[in-house]
Amino acid sequence: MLQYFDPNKDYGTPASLSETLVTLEIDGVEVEVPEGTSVLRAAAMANINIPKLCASDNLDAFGSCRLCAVQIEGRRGFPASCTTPAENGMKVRTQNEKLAKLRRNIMELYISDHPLDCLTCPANGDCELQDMAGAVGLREVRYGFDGNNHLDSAKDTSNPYFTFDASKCIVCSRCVRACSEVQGTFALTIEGRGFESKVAAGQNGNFLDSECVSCGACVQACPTATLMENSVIEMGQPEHSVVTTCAYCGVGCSFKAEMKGDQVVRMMPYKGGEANHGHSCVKGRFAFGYATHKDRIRSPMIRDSIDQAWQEVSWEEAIAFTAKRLKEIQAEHGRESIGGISSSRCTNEETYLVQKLIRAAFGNNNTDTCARVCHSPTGYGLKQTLGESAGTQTFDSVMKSDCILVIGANPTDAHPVFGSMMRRRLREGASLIVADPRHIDLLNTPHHGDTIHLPLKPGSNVAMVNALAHVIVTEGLEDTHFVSTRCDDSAYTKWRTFIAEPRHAPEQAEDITGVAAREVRKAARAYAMADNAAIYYGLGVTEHSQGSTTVMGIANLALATGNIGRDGVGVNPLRGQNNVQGSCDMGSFPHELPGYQHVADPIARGRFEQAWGVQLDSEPGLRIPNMFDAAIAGHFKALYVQGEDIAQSDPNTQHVEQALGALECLIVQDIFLNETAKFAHVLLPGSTFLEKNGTFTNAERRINRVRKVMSPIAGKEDWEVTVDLANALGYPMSYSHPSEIMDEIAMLTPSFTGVSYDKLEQYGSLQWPCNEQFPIGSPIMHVENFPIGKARFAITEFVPTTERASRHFPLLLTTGRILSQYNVGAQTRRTANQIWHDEDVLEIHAHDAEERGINSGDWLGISSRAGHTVLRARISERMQPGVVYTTFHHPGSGANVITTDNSDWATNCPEYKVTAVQVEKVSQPSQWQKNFQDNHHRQQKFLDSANTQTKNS
Amino acid sequence: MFDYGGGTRNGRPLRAVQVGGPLGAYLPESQWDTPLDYEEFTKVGAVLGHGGVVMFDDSVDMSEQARFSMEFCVKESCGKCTPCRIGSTRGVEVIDRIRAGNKAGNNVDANLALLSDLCETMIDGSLCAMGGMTPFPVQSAVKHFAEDFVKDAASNPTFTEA
Repeated sequence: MLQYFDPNKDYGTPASLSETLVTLEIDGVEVEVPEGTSVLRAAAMANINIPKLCASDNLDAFGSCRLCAVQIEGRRGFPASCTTPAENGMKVRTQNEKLAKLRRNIMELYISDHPLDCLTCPANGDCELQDMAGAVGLREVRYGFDGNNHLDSAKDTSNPYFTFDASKCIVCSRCVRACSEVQGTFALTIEGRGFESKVAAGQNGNFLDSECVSCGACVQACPTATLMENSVIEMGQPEHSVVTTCAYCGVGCSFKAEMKGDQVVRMMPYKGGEANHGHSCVKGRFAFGYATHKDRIRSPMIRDSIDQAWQEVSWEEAIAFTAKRLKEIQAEHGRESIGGISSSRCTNEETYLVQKLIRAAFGNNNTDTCARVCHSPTGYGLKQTLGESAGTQTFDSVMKSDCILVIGANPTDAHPVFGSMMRRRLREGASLIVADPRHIDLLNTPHHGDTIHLPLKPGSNVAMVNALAHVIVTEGLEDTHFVSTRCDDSAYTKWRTFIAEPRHAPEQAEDITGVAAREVRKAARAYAMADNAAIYYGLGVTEHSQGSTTVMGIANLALATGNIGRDGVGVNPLRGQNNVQGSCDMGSFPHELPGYQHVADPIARGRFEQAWGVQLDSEPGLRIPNMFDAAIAGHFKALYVQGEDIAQSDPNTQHVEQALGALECLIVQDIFLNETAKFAHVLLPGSTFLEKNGTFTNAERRINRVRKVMSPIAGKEDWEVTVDLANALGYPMSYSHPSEIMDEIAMLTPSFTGVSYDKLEQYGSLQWPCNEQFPIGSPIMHVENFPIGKARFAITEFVPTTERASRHFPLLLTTGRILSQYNVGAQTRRTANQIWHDEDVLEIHAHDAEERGINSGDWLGISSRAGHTVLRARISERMQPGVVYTTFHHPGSGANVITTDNSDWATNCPEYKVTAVQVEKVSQPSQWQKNFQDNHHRQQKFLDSANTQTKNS
Repeated sequence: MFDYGGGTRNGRPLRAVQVGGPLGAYLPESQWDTPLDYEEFTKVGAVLGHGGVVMFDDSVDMSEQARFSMEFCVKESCGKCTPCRIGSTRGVEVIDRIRAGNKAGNNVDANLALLSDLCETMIDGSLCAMGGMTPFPVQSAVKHFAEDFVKDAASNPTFTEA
């Protein structure tokens, strides 16, 4: 890969971004480096490797180990090269007899308080202390080993993924600094002074009980075996590694999968990854064990009815069975009676093939994707205003932001690695505005700058965004130059008149949002007056009846203040799943071909027809909720679902279950028997990200390579299954590698014409648009022009949701996720992450709890007009009175039994974030939960009996 | 010392003087006439420090004073840099071994050489003056009052200054 530095080398201190260069001489070699570069890094860049222990290039220089001491002509003593900036004309010596003796003697001190069990130590083969002892030539420890020491310190094994063995600690503080500087959690500290100094988690408790979020930065930073992955302790050092992309959230972190044969020993965040720069979170770093979990579906299965046991069959038989059923259904009920759903969890190539299968082999446009239920309003809203369905920035852009406005997102839980970068910027002094009903953790950032929290009522986003815009317009805070040169004049004039109306004033909005006008005005001024202001938003914006309107309102804010088209600004949707951006780009929606080309556009459609050799339907097909309705109505009969658990993740579960139950043929391709698969007739084993080649596109439009590190557990990568199905249906598909699929995508998608696996290999990753105009991609969009020429302001009238608190349902429920679990939990529930969150709970404000006589831990019945479920209570300071909150990570919780059919007016994205509910103390699970448990056991038995049959045969 | 301080309290002969605080060097009689001035003190390996003068009569055991310097550093060290954090603790231990004299498994000469190396390491390697100056009183005690360290007449100290 083309890199400006070697991502596998540690240069000791961070890179300096200065454009001024200085020249110095190190061991007689002339070196030119940016001003502010340390002598240690300057030397490393010239491949002069000065011994070091406390220095690492992701941490600020610390100067504690003293091993990197050098001599500098004209200077007294032996300065640490890590803390000494390079200067013009400096002459540095890194090796001579005096330095050798100093380093050896320091090393001797270290080893006088370190166990001598190298051969049986888990870090053997990957220990910087060992390496340095070798580098300085330590041959004896004259102090002996009877002196005061820490060799009897106890191990802390409280964390499920790593062990803290204090007896091996050299107190270099790298873990403490990584926790503060890289992760921004400040869970670790050095306790005590002098010889008694020791690393402690929180108030000297254990790691698990501390504020530690298990991001793994400390374990990665540790130069010894003090902080060590349990997997390495158990398995030993890996023997090879493969760089790939995490399959959890939309940050798209690069990891080195460190392997022993086809076993993953550990996932190490990859420093060359442009999205994460070597950082990770608990999910990507540690929660990969699901890939080899015993619950994995290992062979294809079929059955005639969902009341029957599964029958294990060969791939050929399963595919033939599926094709036959689909053909029969189409013959009887028509071409449009079947459809499919692509997955934001799968690769671009796989998603592309699924929609191609549907459009070309099924012969209709009944294709949709899980982005329907998360970011479809982003696609719509940003396309309407800015002309492209994507975030405008690269993640690194946030490091240039002076004001960060976060609306309806919880980055430290849902996008933790980006959340850490954001926190770093906040520590540097950027101001923060959070518009969210809850007191999210970002607001608790240690050492942050100015912070404003706008704790609005769920469902009032549009009123809030309008109030902010009103202040900007009426207080003369617009960037008139940007507006006049970059925006469509007539749309702007209409919008300006609309938004300036007094009814949008914060004072008027107060009744709707519940937020004091004073605070809203303060926030609007902070956003508009900052040199660079950026907006980050998440599902708290999109998952509303007016999700698309809020997205457009956000774009209006950025346009009015000229915060588009450069570093530090922009409109940034934080994508939930690893490949939401990609699955939308790849034409998963019923109305859009790959690259957001409308199916009704004859020119675009014509190109696909020519390339695919079929006639394509010019009418948009069914969206997911339409499919459900049509299934219940009886004219939609078969569905192919790849890697999405609609039965758990879509709203109004009982409605979804009714729809799934009405299908004549449900084909589920997944890695586990998920909730949807319990209604399936064909179960095709899916492959995890570790088992296939492909690409994911993250929230910053970055196309990252996914590389296969082990064989698919059931023999096929997901794209191969789709190919087989297409062929069995009589539509020929032939690819020998996903790179060929990408070549086809590039040929048909204007924003991808410059993308190829070769180029990805060369550059590491590419941010689309990547074409003739932008041959190596586009980190920041709309720099010169918008794809639609001039940006269009949109009128954003606030229309309250029909889902309102009432006498019967006086509380508003909003749903979200937490750090340790991921979405429907299919993966994370099958890892040790369960230790942090083994059940979903209902968070409720103390006032609402007291009124109802509720204590933390009580069973609560939660009723909405859609359904009823039971969860345990947790009284929480994060909530505001009148608002309750839960997560949906556990299927038995039935969180979506209570969410309703309400959805975004433009895209049908469900209104997950607002459900009027009542809660009361109860003593037993709901009827739905009882049925759920019964059905779960029954379906599990159907699966187990298939497995037993195979074993016996 | 005699004019303003009035000599030792009990009238016993003066043996050693520490100038500048607990990190200042011990001066033997030959250096008592050094002018109170930065440059002149530096020449003899001493410091003016905070200017305090502490006098010791002839009942003092200078190996105990050297130990006290290292012990002071053990108490005061912040623990950030290695030479000071581990070095001071090892310093106390090495001096204890020296003071215990030659016996099985304990060679005073070797320990004096080790102490010399340790002092050098702390001076050259410490992050701040705490660890960097702690060796001053130790080195001066060994240099000027070697007899207090080598109680075994057969042994010949090989201690050298950095």
